[in-house]
Amino acid sequence: MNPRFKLLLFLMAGLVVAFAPLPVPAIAPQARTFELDARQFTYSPSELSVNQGDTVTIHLVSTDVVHGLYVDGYDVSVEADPGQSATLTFVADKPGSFRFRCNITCGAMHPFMIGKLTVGTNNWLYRSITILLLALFALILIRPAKQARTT
Amino acid sequence: MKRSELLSRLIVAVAVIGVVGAPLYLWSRTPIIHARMAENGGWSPDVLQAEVGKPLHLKITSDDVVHGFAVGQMDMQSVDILPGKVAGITLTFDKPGIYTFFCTRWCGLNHWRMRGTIEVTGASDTIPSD
Amino acid sequence: MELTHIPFIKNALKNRYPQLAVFIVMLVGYIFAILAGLIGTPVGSHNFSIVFVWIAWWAILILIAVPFFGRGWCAVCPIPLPGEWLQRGAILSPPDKRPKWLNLRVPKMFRNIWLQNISFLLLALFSSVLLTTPNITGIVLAAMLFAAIGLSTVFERRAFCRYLCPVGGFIGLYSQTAPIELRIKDKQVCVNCEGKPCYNGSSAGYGCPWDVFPGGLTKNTYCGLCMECIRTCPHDNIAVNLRPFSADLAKPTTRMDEAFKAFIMLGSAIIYAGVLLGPWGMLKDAAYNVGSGAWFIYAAVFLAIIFIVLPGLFTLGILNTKNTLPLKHRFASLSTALIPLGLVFWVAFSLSFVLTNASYILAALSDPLGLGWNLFGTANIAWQPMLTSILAPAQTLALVGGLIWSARTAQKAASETHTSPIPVIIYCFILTAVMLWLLL
Repeated sequence: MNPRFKLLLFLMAGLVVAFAPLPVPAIAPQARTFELDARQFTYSPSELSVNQGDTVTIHLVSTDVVHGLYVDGYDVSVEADPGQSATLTFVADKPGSFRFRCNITCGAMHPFMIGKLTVGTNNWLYRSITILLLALFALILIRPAKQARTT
Repeated sequence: MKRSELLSRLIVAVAVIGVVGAPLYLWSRTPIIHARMAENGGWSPDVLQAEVGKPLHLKITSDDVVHGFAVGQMDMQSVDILPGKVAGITLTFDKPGIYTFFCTRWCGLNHWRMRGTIEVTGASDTIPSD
Repeated sequence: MELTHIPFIKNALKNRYPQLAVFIVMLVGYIFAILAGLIGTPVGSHNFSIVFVWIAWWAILILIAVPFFGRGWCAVCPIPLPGEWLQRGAILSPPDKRPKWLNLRVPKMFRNIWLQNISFLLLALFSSVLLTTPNITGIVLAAMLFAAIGLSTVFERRAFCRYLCPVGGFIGLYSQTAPIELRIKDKQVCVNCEGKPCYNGSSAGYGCPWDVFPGGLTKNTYCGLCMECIRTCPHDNIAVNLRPFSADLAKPTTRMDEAFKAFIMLGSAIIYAGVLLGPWGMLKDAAYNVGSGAWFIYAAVFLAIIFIVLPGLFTLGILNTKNTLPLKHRFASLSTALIPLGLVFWVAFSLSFVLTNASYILAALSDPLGLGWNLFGTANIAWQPMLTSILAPAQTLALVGGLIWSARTAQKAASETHTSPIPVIIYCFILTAVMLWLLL
């Protein structure tokens, strides 16, 4: 097989992996509630997992100073003073991995106060790793016609 | 020395002196009250002076977390003091005395200790109107 | 393609005034950043020094300057200027009477990039504090400025830039991937040239401040694009050329200091992605609480990953070949593949925090010291992450592209050393997968 043809095959495979729609598992959406403790500079729990379509309710409890919660991708937020927990409710209709972060300056490491919300499966990560694998195989298997393999 | 060299040195000198002098000057002329968690010093300064009837203009900023400002013995809405931002507050006192100001947003275990005083002197030199 | 063939470009580069104008802007900005760090608000996100150094300047450096202009930042950096002006006795052309400074040659033992490796690591170990605390940033910036001035009064040329600057260490390494270069046009002209004013200086300009002999330049690594040699060459034999990306990587290094720099940069990008952008609070606490027991463990693990784990695994991978070349040679040569990989890792990592925090830039421009100013009316712009929907695809594209780029580099280096590139390619694949997992 001509190396250029092989390259084209790999490129097309890459596009398929990147963009092919995946079936969404038919899990009935539920209401999920989480109690999230916030302190300088971490949330606990810091990793949350829900199914696509779930209605997510987060009770934000700040334990030391005023903290906020902002969800990347969903662009929703809430803030809580210690002693006055606040509630954020939204429908997790977009699948994937979303970082949530503090949006009220709460001290030096505030920009790195980060947690992770996974809605459904982190499809984009799996697609990316598959594309990476495809690239690996293409790199090892496609040899320009002239160059002899050296060991 | 060539003219161009002299001119360049002049420009560099003016630029450097300007960039150091101008901000320093403006900074020294901007009295700001700094709010920090009580463990790190609380309000600085924590004693203010005022006069009856004369509006007191305050600029307050937070150096760390969200704080709030309110004066006891006065009917006022507390003002949020956000980190890195400056809140402008104007207070006018009717009666002389010692007023206490304190933090109104929880800022740590020693939040309740975060307070200061405003010493308001009476307008004792005013000529009473006949 | 020779860029200096175009008269406008050649004159703009040769003329000292455009360069001086840029220098003055950069120097003023740098001094202002020091001042803001020292007297401005301690809240990093609202202080000019943190926002303009670690968000704005860093973004421009790692996303534009290094990949497209190699050592382009070095060409405009203000740090060496005061010292150099003192050393030269002039801001523009050489004066008639040169001042008598010591002009010592940097001792042979230090004529490598190990000091730069160490200075970068020092900053890296304290990075959580450095990136978030304005007065620390102010102090570090001031320290670099004064170190450069001090070294200029003792040593010849730009000793700080060439041998100490933590930024210069990695910019030099990564500049090999850039699509521009400064090279001589005709070697024979240099052979016949008397006096070599490009290196020794003349009345038209100064000898190379980077201690490079332009006639022998084959790679970008140590040329700071200061344009002195273009001014001094009496034969118009020096050009700035446009060329394919990473042309220099076709000539792999054999130096251990450069090889380890590749590992230092690769390792720190991975560690930062995990510690700063990940959800693991304990790691952030350990990284931030400098001096605590947890921090010592963090520092030890950091150094172990960079000096033992990453190079160790790499060496194991390349051991298995019956090869006459010494292992050290193969190690250094094949580690060239890690240069594009490291650059791409830093791009992918930086995209995340830059897009998240770029909105602070306009606010900090209007109120740089946190005193309540509103110089340009933008002081009250709210924090808002930007372009979040393109971040993940951009990181994937960059990282997959990086793997392909490093694999091609590995293939070239491997054919030169008569080994197989496969272990290196697999090594790059594993690390890229880890980076994807950490970032996405």
